[in-house]
Parts: sequence; structure tokens; C-alpha cells
Amino acid sequence: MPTMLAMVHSLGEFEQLVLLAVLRTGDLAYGTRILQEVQAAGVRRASRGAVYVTLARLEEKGLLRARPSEAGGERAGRPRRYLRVTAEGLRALRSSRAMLIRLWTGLESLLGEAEG
Amino acid sequence: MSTRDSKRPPALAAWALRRCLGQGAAAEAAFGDLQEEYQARAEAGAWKAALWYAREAFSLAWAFGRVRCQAATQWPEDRARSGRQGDSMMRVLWEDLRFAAVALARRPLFAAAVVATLALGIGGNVALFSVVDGVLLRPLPYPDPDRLVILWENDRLRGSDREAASAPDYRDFVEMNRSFESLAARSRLDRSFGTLAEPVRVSSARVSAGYFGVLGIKPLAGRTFLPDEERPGNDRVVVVTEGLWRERFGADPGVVGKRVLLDGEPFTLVGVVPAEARVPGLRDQIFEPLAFGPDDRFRGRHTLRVFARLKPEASLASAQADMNALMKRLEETYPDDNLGRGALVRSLQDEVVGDSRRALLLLFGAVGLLLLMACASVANLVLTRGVGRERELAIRTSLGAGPWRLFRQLLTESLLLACLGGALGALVAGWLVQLVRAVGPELPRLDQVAVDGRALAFALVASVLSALVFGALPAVRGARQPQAGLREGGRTSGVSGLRARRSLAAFELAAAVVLVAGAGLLVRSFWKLQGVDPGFDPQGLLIAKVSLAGPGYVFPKGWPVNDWPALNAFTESLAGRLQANPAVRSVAFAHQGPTDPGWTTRVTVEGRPAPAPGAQDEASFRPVSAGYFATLGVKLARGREFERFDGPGRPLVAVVNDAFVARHLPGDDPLGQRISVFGAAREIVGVVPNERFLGLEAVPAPAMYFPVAQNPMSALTIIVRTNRDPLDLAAGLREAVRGVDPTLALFELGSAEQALVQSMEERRFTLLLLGAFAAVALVLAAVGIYGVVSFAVSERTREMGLRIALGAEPRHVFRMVVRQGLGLSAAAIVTGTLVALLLGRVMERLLFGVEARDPVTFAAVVVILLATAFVASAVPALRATRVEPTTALRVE
Repeated sequence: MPTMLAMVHSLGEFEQLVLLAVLRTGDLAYGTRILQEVQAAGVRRASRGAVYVTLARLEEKGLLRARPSEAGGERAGRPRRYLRVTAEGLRALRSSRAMLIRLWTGLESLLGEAEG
Repeated sequence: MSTRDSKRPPALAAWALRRCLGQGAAAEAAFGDLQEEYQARAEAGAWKAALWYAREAFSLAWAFGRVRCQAATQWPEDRARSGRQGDSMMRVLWEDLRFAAVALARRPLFAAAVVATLALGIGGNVALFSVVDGVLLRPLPYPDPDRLVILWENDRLRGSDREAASAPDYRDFVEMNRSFESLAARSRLDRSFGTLAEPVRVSSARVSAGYFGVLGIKPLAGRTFLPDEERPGNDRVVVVTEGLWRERFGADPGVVGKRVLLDGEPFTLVGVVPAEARVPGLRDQIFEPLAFGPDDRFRGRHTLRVFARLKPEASLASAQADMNALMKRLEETYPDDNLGRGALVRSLQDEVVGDSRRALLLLFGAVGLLLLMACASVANLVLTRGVGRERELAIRTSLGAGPWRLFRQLLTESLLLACLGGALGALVAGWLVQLVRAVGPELPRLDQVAVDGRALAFALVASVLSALVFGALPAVRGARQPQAGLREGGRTSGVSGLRARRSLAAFELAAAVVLVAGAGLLVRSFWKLQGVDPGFDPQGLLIAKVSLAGPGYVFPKGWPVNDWPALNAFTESLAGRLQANPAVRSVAFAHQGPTDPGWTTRVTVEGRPAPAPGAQDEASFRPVSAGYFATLGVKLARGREFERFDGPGRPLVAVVNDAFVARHLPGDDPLGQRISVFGAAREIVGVVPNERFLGLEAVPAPAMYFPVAQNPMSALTIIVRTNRDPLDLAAGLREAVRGVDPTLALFELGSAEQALVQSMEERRFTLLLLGAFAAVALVLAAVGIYGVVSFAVSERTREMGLRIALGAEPRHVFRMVVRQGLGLSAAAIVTGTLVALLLGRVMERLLFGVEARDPVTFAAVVVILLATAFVASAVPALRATRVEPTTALRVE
């Protein structure tokens, strides 16, 4: 019987970034918007390829779920894929956050100095 | 530019993107997203939008392409774990193949080494297969070629084989045989063909009217011969072959019915026959009817080559039995001429292929051995690489791959390598075949040899077999003991790995012994042959032939003829013109030159008891001019040479060679003895050493020389000795002949040295090829030994370092390593030598003056291979002595 802990996916840095961007974009999150959100968050050099490949991987892992929509003429017949973070995705994000916070705790003064 | 167009993204980028993205909803959506944003940007500026599109498309294509590549290189069982199971056979094979391709692409140097080695091995085999197939195996280009035979006569009293038939014998064959559907006879002569102003020399065949029917040849234009044209007087018709027709008449079909000149006399050209009418190995360019003249009533005059087509129900054996019975009857009926004569029925295919078979099969065997060696070295490479992969295999096993799965994967990689090697090998073979055709000897049908479908099929078979040979051992090992790879950081290869590699290297070395020994025996034969005294001095001799025929040269009637003024006029006049040239030292004439076997005739020595009928002896009959021996540089052993006064009306004289004296006059003084030839007695006035007119390899035969002025011949050889390069004089000779008579054409013009070299041509070719194989074999064997020894050294680096740290002298370490390499080599060399000694019998007939077990050759071979093995072991041994103790200890 696997433990709860083992079932939570550990996320890479860029995966976290992309998942958060999906959440921030809201209900109508699809490729282009998510890319813009990632870039707007300060990762200017995030390439389209890296974001899309990561989206595909997260979907495969079950952290994102897609629902297709209308296929406009200006899209050469390809429907948009709106992505939503799944419950599992949320759990993975929470666990990453918790781990980071645990690690940060008590280092504020030190890192604050270094930053200065 | 329409707005619609401006909104379409750059086609190339879109296409590339679609290819790289693959299928699936995510890919479709990514494509759509890009398209959508492009539309928006295109409103602002088409160019900027297009650039943007290209950049973004590249980013997507790159990222997705990388993911797909990683998926391809993912271990199959890993993928199986991620949930895709139930694959079909084909799919598994395809996956194996893809994985193999990627695995090889990751090690390009390894792959290149393997493919290059195999390409050479397979290429050599395919090239020789093409030659063997084209020359030996392929059927002749006639209908039902296996029913075509050639009929030779033989003479069991003189032990001679494959003699031509006489005209009366041929007629009896036609009437009395029960085995042949049809028979035809052929004899050859040289003709000058064409106009008076520029005659060309052609090789003409006089054939009976049924000749083309026997072969199954249909004329391209006109007709072939009618039975009526076999009668003297009706025979002034000629058929030309396709080649001459194209060359001389521009393939004009209107030429049929025209008049042409043969030796200056008018003939009617009645037909054109395809090139196949020239039986491979013969040189026929035109055909004339064979009309039997008065000379042809002699049963002892053997001039005809007889071709026949077996009846469908007859076999070679039944035809042979039939001919044996027939010859027996002829022997009883005509004991004077036919005592001891039999017949040999030989398939035309065997006749055409002839003596090339042995050499070609030997070379084919040699190149096959070379391919095995190439496989062994590739197996060694694959094993070496396997050492680095044991870890990978071990992990795959722990992921659930069974031994069969790994075996199949490893074998697939080998197959892929072998097929790449085979494809490259086919290209190599194409070049090699061109090379052989350009510089090779005159093999029958060599001009038809090409790398064709059969050769490519052979290449495929050779590749697959090679893959099995070199891939099986590493695959079995890889599949059987992958767990070993996880121990000790996956760097060990185990003892049996070394043992397998040692066996492979030993095999290579043993095979190299066999090839080098074969080449060595041929080299020795060649040296011996070159050391043979041809019996004359070939340096500075120019030789050419001319045929005195045509209206100005009517041969006197009757037999024997002892005077022909036209011949004497020609030789006098030509000699006078040539001697005006300061480069000419002397000129002589002969019926046949010193490298021409000529023909034999019956001879008796006066005062000896008459031999039993049929047991009479024959000797080479060689009419020569005054000064012949001086011109050729032959020193007379006894007596005198012919002089100008030995002409018509003077006493008939002869010179004989040592072989003649040894056979007919042993212990007697030959000078003054009289011999009877053609019913006339001639006095022996001189004795000369043996000229090797049968070829350097043959035992010298008894020969009789007569003054050509007393025994005129229309076929004449001109021999000129010069103090310069004889070929410089070729133009001068042509001009001199033209000056005497412009209707005469010279042929077979060349230096005596060329003629001698040409007689060794096929031998030289065999030697060259086998020598090349042996050289490659030596390199392969050396690399094999080097690989094994240096592998053993690297395995023992730690031990070496320790030894040196503990005070071992470097030379001790050196000796230890070399001893190991030589120990392995010695065993292999002994084995190889034994095999070579056993195989030597195969070569016996290709050797000259050397035993197949020649101790000198074998000693040299052993020394060469030991030296090779020493060098191959010394290099890694030297490296072992330079091991720094500290480095050695840090290795683990």
C-alpha cells in the first residue's frame, strides 16, 4: 500500500512555474496565454517550445486536464485546448510550497544580507 | 498580394513544424495557437510576423523533436512499464531497429570502424562473386547451352590431349555418330579485310555451313552460309560480326550483298551475325565457308575444331561412349593415321571457362576466408564495446528484459551494421569489378562481368551471414550474463570475455597464416618462372606477324613445296629496307616466333628401326630464315646456323634442339645424321639449346628448325633486333612493310618482352589479388592481437602498477606482456600452418617449380607472422611499462 507522500509528484522548478501560470490565467488558460503569463512573471526567455513540452508532460502526469473548445477559422481548424489544474496538480503545488517554506524558515536574515 | 496570402504562415516552417510535432491533441493545439497568434501579428506586418512564426515554430519543433528522440532511445522495457504493451512482432522489430540505429549513432567511430571493415570484406566477396558468376557460372548465351559440346581428338600413344580433328575424321563424325543433333567444324586464319588502301587485319573463321545452326545464332541482317557454299569455288562469300559491322560499315544494313576484299580478293558480304557468334575465348571477326581442298584428304592433318549439339536424349557420358566406339572403328580402319587416337567430348561451357576455374575458385575461397576474418575482428570490436554496455544491459534486465529480448536487440544491431557494411560493400565491389576489368588478365567473358542483381542478392546473403557470425557470440554473451555488469561499478568483463576475444584473435592469426602462405607460394612460383631462361634474349626484340596472301602471293601447288620465289623476294626486300635503319641490328624471319607453340609433324631418324605404325614421333616443325638464331641471341651448341645459301635447290638441312637430341639421338653425334620429314631427308647441321616456345612453364619439347627458304610458309613472323626500345621501331617496321607491299597488314606487333609478360598475365593477377588479401589479413590479424593484448594490459593496469611499485623492472613487465601475446600467437600460427599444409594441395596446379609444402616459404611465413605478432604485442607492452604506480592504484 503506497503512502500518501509517495503519491504526490515532486515538481521541477519550471513545472511549478508553468502550473502556477495556469492557475493565474484562470478558466480560459490555453497555450499562448499561459506562455504570456510565464513571460509576464519575469521569465522573459521562456521559450514556446519549453512551455508547451512542459504542458504536455504535466498533462501526461495527470496534473493538468484539457478540454477542447471551438476551432476558429484563424486557427486552421485546430481547436484551442483549455487547461485546468487537477486536484493532484494542486496537491503537488502545495507540497512543493510547503517544502520550500520549511527550507526557507530561519534563513531570512542570512539570505537577506546576501541579497543586499 | 492577396490578404489571404499574407495571413498564411511561411509554408516551409509550417511544414517542418507539422513533421516535428507529430500527432495528438496537444500537438494540434500547439499548432493552432501559433496559427492564431500569427494571424493577429500578420495584420501589423507580414515580414515581421513571418520571422516571428519561423522562430517560434523552430522553438516548438526543437523541443518536441527532442522529446520524441528521447522516447526513441528509451529502453523498450521502460516504455513497456509506462503502460504500452501488447506490441506486434513487426512493431517490436521496428522498435529494435530504431533503438539500434540510435545506439549506433551515439558511437559513430565504432560504427564507422565496423562498417568499413565489413564493407571491405563484403565488397571483396561481391566483386569476386561477380567475376566467378560471370566467368564460370553463367550459362553461355545460346539456346540450350548445356547441350553444346566441343569434340577434341587425343592421342594416347603420345599422351596428348585436346587436339584438333582432321577433315576426314570430321566427315566420319558427321556420318557415323548417334549422339549429336548437328555438328560443325571451324578453322581459323588471319585475313586482311577491306580496301586496298587501308586493309585491317581480322581474325577469320572458316566454318561449315551448319556452324551457326549448331550454336543457334540467327543473322542480324542477310543470311548465313548455304550448304552449297562449302564447295571450293562457291566459297567467295563472307559473314561479318556485329562489332566489325558497326565499326567498318556504321551498322548499315545495306551492306549485305556488297563486295569486300579479303587479302585483296573479292568476296560477297552475305550477312551480319550478332556478337555471340564469336564463341567466348575465340577472336573471330568474320566468317567464311569451310570448303575442303585437296590437302584436306589427309587424315593426319589436324586443323579443325569441331562443335556439336547433343540430341535431347543424349548426355555427355553417352556421347563420350558413342565417340569412343566411333574412334575405335576409325582406328581399326585407318591404323596408319589413327592408331592411338581417341576423342574427348567436353561441354562448351567447361571449354570456355577452361583453366581460369582453378585460380578463380582459389581466389574466391581466399576472399571468403578474408570475410570470416573481417567478421572475427568485428566480433572483437563488438565485444569490446559490449564491455562498456554491460551496465546498460544489466539495468535493462532488472527492468524486466529477458535474455531473448536482449539477444534479439543485440543481433538487430549487428544486422543493421552488417547491412550498412553490405550496402557500402556493393559500392566497393562496383569499383573493384571495374578495376579488374581494366587491369585484369584476359579471362573469358570478363567483359560481361558486372555487379548485377545476382551479385546484390549475394551481398545481402553475405551481410546477413556475417551478422550472424560476428553478432551471435557477443549477443549470447550479452544476453546471458548481464547481472555481472552491476558488480564493481560495471567495469569488469569477466575472464570468459577475454577468452572469447583471445579465440577470435587466434582464429584471425591462423587464417592469416593460410592466406600469407598461399600468397608466399605464388610469389615463389612467380620468381621461379621469371628466372626461367626463355632460351633466347628477349631484350630489344620486336616481333610482328604478316600473312603473304593475295593476288601477288599465289602459293605453289603440290606438297611438299621447296621453293616459293615470292617469299624470298619479300624477305630480301624487307630485310634490305629495315637494315637501312641504323637502329636495326639484325632481321630474321620465321614461320612462328620464339613464344609461339606452332605445330608438330611426324619425323623419323634415318638408320633407325622403323617405329611401329602409329607410334611414330612428332616434333615441333619450325621453318626459320638465315640469321634467326643470331638475331634471337641463341648460341649454337654444335654445328652451324642456317646461311643464305641454304636455299632452294641446295641440300636440305635442319637444326635440332637439345630436347630433340635427348629423345631421338641420345649418346650419338647428331651432326650429319639425317631425319625424314614430309618424305624428304634432311641433314642435321646444328644443335641449339631449347627455346621455350610452349611457354615458360612447359617442359621444353623436341623441335626441328628448317630454312624457311626450303620450306616456305605464307604465315610469317618478322623478328627485328634493335639496340633501342623495340617499340620505338614499330612505326619504322610498319613503314618498311608498306614500302615493300602496301596491301599487306602487320598484326600482333609487340616486343618479345611484352609477349613473355603476357604469358604470365593470369598468374600475375592471381598473385596480385592473393597478395593483397594476405596483406589485409596480416593487418587484421595484427589489429586483433593488438586489441587482445592491450585489453589484457588495461585489465591488469593495477597489477602492473603494483609490480612496478614493488620494484619490478620495466623490462620484466614488457617481457611478461609480450610473452602472453606470443604464447597466444604461437598456438595460432602452428594451427594455421597445419591447415595451410593440408590446403596446399588445392594450390598444387597453380604452382611452378615450388612444392605445395615448400619449407622455405613456410619458414618465411612463420617468421613474418611471429614478427607481426611481436610488434602487435610490443606496443601495449611498452605502454604497460610506463604505468605510473600511483595511476594504477587510482584506477578503481
